Amino acid sequence: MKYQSQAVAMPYFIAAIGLFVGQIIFGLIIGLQYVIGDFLFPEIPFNVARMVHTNLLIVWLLMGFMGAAYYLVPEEAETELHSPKLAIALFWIFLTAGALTILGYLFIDYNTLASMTGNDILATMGREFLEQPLITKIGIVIVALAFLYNISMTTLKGRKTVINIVLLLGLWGLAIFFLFAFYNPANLVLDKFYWWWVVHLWVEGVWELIMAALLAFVLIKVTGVDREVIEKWLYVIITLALVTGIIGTGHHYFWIGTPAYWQWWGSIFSALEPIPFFAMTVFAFNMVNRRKREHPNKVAVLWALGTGVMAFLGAGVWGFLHTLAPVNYFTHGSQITAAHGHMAFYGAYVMVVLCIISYAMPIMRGRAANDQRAQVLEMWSFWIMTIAMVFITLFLTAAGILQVWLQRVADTPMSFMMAQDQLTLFYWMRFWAGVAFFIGLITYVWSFFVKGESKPLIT
Amino acid sequence: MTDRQPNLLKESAPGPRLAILVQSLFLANLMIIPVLGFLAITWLWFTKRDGATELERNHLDQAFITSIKGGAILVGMSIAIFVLGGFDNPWSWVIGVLYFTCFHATLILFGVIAVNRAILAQPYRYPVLGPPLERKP
Repeated sequence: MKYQSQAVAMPYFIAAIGLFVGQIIFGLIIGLQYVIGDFLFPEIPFNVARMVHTNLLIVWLLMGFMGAAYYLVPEEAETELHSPKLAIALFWIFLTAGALTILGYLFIDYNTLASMTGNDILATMGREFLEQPLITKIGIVIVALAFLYNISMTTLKGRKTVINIVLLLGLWGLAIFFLFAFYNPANLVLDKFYWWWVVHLWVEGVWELIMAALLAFVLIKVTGVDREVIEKWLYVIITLALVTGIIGTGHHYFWIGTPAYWQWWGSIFSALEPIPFFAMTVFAFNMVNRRKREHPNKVAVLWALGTGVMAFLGAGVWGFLHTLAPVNYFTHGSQITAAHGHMAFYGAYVMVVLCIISYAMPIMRGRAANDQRAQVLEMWSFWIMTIAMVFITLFLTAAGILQVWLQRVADTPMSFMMAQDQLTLFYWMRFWAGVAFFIGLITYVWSFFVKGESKPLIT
Repeated sequence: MTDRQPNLLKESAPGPRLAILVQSLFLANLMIIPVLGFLAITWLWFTKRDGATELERNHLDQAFITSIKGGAILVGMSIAIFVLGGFDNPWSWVIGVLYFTCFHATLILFGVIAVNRAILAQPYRYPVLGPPLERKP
């Protein structure tokens, strides 16, 4: 580790992995509730478990991004972090707020939680992914601003690299677009319109910048390819991501009450959205193929390549599958969307966070790379989780296509719940694929505890 | 300062242009210009193969033959699924869409590896579909 203050990333990474485990446990609970409707009812109803599953995903990815930034920014800026103490304080505030929010979801009726936490003053709750109580949302903004202050000051006092600037741009964008979570117009169309400014412009906009910056950082380190080459790729990727992703928001505006021109804008620009992910795949393979060194951390290289491939498949291919307006007319809000969401989040963001953790954790523990046995175990976890996610996606896609047919295409369309009954087989298969994913995740956690010889750290 | 500036493109992509072009067309055929991309590959194969270097010929052959085989399997199997299963059968759509998406994406991913090999002046063989590499005596 080049700078002592980079160590503040470690608690963020550990908490991220812990919350990831929680997210998957709740994923399994809702997976089972799809087929056994009263499983854990009334203790954990489906809507609550789903909320916990998605909110934990957001919280642990944010933890991962913050940890990654605290590790990456000082090294790129070639200076110590502006305030390590602030970073540690923010960690505990964010973790405590996140934990209290999840406990609130689980133990307090949502209506009561809303009135207890100031939703009467400014109503922001009750919307998918933005279910957090007002005080939690305010807490997120405060933590985000303090975090941005810390890493921006670090960047300002040190070297300004393209990676740092792209990462900062992504993180500032993340914070700015979250402010739309506070805007909740009474008109449902307007509400949805701006709701996507948080959700879409995060995952198909600014988060892509964060992802590209993290991937570029790891690739520079593990391949030894010249920074100039990687920076040029980074420019191309972020340009493609922003050009396609911003107006690509239009693919969410089909059939929700917005003007019909969005069907053209949304279709055209979102059809181009696979391009940045495709570029990232080419980028990752190109850099690894032309590597100038054999880095001992093989598993970090594997995660980097996996990120490129799975992000392209999940976000690019599965996104394109249902993004054109004439197709989306039938598939809107079906299990095909769930299939895309699962693989895209895993490929683009879960894997890139696990990639930087895989690269940085051994270094923070005083070695260049983990013992061979630990790396092999982590590679097993990579393959188990990735293959399991492929199957989750395939089963959900199959369920989605059948759902669309039964509910929207057939001469005598079924109701939503009747169609759901016909999908039980796929939901069972999805559940068992989820169990396999959980086994992969446990294997991943286990790999941290494997002891043995490790490659010495050369600074 | 020297009079000669380094050729950054050549440094970044030392592979032969023809090889890079044909593998890029392989990807373009799959993603943005179906059929047109294949026609361009076919034209290159017929007009450039004889005068090509061994490496260029490797990439020309791989892209041309894999496009034919891959395209035939991709389109042929998809048509077969719908013809045999029937357009009014939901299972035709389940199997057909999954088959097309997975096979198409697999071809793209192998195309990415192929174009990278071409960029780095290395030979490549598409798994299963690509013709065997020429062995040196």
